[in-house]
Amino acid sequence: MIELIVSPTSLDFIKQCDFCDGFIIGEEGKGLRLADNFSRKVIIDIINICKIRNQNVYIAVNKIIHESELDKFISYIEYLQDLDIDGIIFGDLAIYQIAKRYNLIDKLIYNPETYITNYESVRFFAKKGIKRVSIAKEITLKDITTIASKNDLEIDILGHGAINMFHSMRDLVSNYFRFLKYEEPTRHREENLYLIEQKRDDKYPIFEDQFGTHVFSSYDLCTVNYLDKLIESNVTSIRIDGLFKSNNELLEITQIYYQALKDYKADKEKYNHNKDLYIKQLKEIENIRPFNDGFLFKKTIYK
Amino acid sequence: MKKPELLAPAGDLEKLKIAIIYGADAVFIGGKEFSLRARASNFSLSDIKEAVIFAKKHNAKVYVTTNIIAHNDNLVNLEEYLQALDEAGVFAIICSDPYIIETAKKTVKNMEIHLSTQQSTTNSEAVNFWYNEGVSRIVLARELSIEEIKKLRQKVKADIEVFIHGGMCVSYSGRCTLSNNMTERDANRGGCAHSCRWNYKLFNKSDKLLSDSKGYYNLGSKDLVGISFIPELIKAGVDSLKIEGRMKSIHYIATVVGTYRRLIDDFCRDPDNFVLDDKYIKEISKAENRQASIGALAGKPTENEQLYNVRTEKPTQEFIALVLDYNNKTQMATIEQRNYFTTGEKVEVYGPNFSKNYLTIEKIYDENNNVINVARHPRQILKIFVPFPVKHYDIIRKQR
Repeated sequence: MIELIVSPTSLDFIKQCDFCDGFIIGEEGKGLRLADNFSRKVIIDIINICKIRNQNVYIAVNKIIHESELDKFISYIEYLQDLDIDGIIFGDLAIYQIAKRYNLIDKLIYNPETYITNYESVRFFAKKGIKRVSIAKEITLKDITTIASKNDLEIDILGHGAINMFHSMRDLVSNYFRFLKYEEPTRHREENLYLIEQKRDDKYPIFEDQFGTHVFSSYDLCTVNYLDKLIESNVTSIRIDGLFKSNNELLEITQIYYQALKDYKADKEKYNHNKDLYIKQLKEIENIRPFNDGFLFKKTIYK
Repeated sequence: MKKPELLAPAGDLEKLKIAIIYGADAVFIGGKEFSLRARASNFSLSDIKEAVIFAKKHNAKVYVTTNIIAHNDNLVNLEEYLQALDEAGVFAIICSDPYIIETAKKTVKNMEIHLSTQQSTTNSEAVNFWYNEGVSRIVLARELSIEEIKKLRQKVKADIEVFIHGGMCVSYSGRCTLSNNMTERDANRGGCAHSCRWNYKLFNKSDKLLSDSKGYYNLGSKDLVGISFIPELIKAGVDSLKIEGRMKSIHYIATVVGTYRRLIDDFCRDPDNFVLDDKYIKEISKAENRQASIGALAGKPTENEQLYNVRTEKPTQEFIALVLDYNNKTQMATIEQRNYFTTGEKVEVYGPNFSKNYLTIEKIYDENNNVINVARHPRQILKIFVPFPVKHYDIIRKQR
């Protein structure tokens, strides 16, 4: 059965959400684009809560690491080696090199956002002995199921949430306000702003934080109607991303996915029959971000 | 002082020859398969063979980009293609996809494997990961400062390549899917639509416009001009200095490559007494006058590195003809027209080794030896009198 993993909006959310299979949590400065960050003390509390409830804990250490930051990340991995965690999510291969020295390779989940797009590169990382890879969000459902069925390595994908489509190290919001000579160029830092392109109507969320600037798709990716295909091709886990969501929105979304998976497990027909219902329920959530199929049925061109 | 390699782009055979004649130690080109920049005029296998023969004759190397992040249906015929490149004498391939790297390691006898900047490698641990995989050179991410590059260089055995000039991704390279999401064009397979440079309006949560009401906001970066960092990069022990721009003109290639060649040679000849004067930047502005930026070389980029309401200045000089041949006895040069010019114009003849000579165009003869006053036909073969020796690939340009 597929693992339902949530990147939570708060500690309260974690306390409430006792039914999902795991959480992705991280410390300030180490994990990218998390809806909330937690101190080391709270991380220990979360681990304790989750162990009792039989939920997995994954630590996000997915920053792109600059040479000057290596020491900080080495001591963080050293710290993580003593925690009872189920995985370390990374996006920079430096973490692989470091984790090797602490015998943590079998905990590693490689999520480089855009780089895993074919089954051979998954095989490459399978040979490295890591636990799992997250595949890119910009490929088709057919490509996802091909990759999953041609590999023994655990496969993770985004189940529901915003697609990060741009990450710059630069402070692109406050730089612009400095250019315009605004009095408080950093006033909107970490606020959820949005962009509209001259010839389009879509609203793209943008925010600036200590890692630079991030821009997201206007629609959340939604996979609730394709869970059968994912399960049958051997996808290991789906993530529900808490970014841009309130505790309640995230909880309701997670419940719908949980129910859908439960339905599938009980009776495939029931799951099939309820597909419209899941979509209807999602649409009824107050303030939910618009969602669609993303690239599941959309092949990108390049010539 | 160890002299680093000067690596230049080439969009076609003519540009490749120009890059090498003007001082590039190596050139990188795209093939028809597995390469980004799908819209650049890419090289067929027979072009690649010709490129290698020309390069070898001039003691230069040819690198081929095989830097896509492949999807399942891009995996076919890879081995055959890599073997063909190897047999053609290509010195190295520039890769991003682990499968392409792995396949190259298994099937290729001679070619080096280089890691593209598309993998955004920003630290020595990640460099070492790829070095252990048989990658001999890493093209660093364009996010690193000179201080970080120095520190990194000391901790790795792999060759290190650094971008010094040309267009920049503002995003971490290889991690941007603006183009995929906004246009369904896959940036990591050569389809990038440069959506970061488009015009946007910026709003806050309550729909209040925060961007300039007259202008537009954009995310794009100014081009990189690394001239002032060359001495530091050489001292740091960087192995290769890379110029970007497979889509650029031969005038640009000749000018930019020639300038960096001169700068590197000048510095290495006498590092202690080297003075970085403005002759190098002035020279580059003759072929390209986009506003310069230093990228991240001095640390986190500021508003000065961004493309807000940038006016593109025209280059200060206009490329009018390429020299094809010269007859020492008659002092007549055979040239190929590239832009409109007339008799009476004062022009500069620019060649390799930073050479510059000046003349006034007197008579122009066409193919049939008729005297003409105006050269208006693109690529027309003409003859003019030049009172000093010139060579094939010299560039004739006039002040705007």
